[in-house]
Amino acid sequence: GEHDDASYIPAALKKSPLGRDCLEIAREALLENSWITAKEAADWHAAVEKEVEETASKVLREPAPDPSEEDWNAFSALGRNGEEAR
Amino acid sequence: MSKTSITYLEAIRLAQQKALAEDPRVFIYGQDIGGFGGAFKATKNLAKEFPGRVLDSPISEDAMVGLAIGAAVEGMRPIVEMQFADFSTCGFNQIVNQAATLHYRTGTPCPIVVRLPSGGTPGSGPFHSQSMEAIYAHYPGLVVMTPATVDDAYSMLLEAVALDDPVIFCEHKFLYYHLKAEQLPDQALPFGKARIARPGRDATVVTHGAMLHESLAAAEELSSDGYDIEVVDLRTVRPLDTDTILASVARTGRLLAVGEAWPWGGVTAEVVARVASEGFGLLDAPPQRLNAKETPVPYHPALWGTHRPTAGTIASSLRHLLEL
Repeated sequence: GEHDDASYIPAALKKSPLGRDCLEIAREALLENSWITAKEAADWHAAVEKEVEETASKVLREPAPDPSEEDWNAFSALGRNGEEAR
Repeated sequence: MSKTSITYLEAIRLAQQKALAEDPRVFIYGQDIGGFGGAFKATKNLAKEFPGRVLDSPISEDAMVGLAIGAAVEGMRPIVEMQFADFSTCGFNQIVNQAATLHYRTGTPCPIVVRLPSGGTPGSGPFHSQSMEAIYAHYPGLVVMTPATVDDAYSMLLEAVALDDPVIFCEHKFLYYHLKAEQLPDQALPFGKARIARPGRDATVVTHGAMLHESLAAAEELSSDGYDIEVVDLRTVRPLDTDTILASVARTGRLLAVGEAWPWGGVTAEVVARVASEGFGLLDAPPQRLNAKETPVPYHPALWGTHRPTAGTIASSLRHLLEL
């Protein structure tokens, strides 16, 4: 079967709101309450899809990272050892 | 014993099969380990062979370890499979606050084994690559095993199941498929003993897990320069076999501790501290260590290959050590 087919979750729970795609549930709630229009929902979806595709396309064209040019620093505001300011 | 080629991963599966067959108190608990056989197939077909004793868990490491501790208190000997060592942090509270302290608090043993598929492989990134032995070794009450060979993967897992104390079993994913042996071992070194994987006289490398094989390759490289490097495989990092380490340093006078994990407060730091404090007079040069770079483990194989020590960087560190 699947890597995790969630077979230990009862079928009724899977079909309840707790077991459904939370993005889909949120989209339905926004539409049912007239907080957004169907066109706005579709536009948002298209915009996100475009951004993901553009980003993936850009990354796939980029060269592989060069370890010698990597700064090997996990901190945002400090030096590698966490002591000195950059 | 079988004469077919046995991988490190298969040795782990066979050890669990033997433990289940020989002791009715043993059961295995983990995510997708039943019909699916586990993320790496370390429990393949065991659910069928041992009905009701190889059990799928919910995706809650906290609940998995908690259940195992409760079962151990009631006399069982559970093996918990984490899908990746990194995810054991979600069960950290149960491991370090409950399992590690149980005997000291109550006098009740806690014979659980938590298997951690550990260490890096190309492309696995920061959440599926960590080496967590130092974190768990920090806690009194936990035994931490780091088998580096097929023989040890098999015999040390059986040893872990037989122990009355909780064992963190750090099996290395990089060794799962390509490390092979012709047969399973009939004998094993005593519990807690390190092994001289390669004898030498010019410098000592102390290491464990997948770094053993990088270190042996580095030692081989230096042999062409006329250097004779001794390599010590720790096998367990807690308890740490200080006697074997000191005896090796007494022979060579020089120490390089090599680890795949980060250096800060890690196993290599402990090795260097013990040699400096208990064997200072044995040293002809300052003890050195080599670890992963201090960033999360990178995804890209080109970065990953540079992030952790390799035979090449170990050989460079050894050349530096030999010139001190």
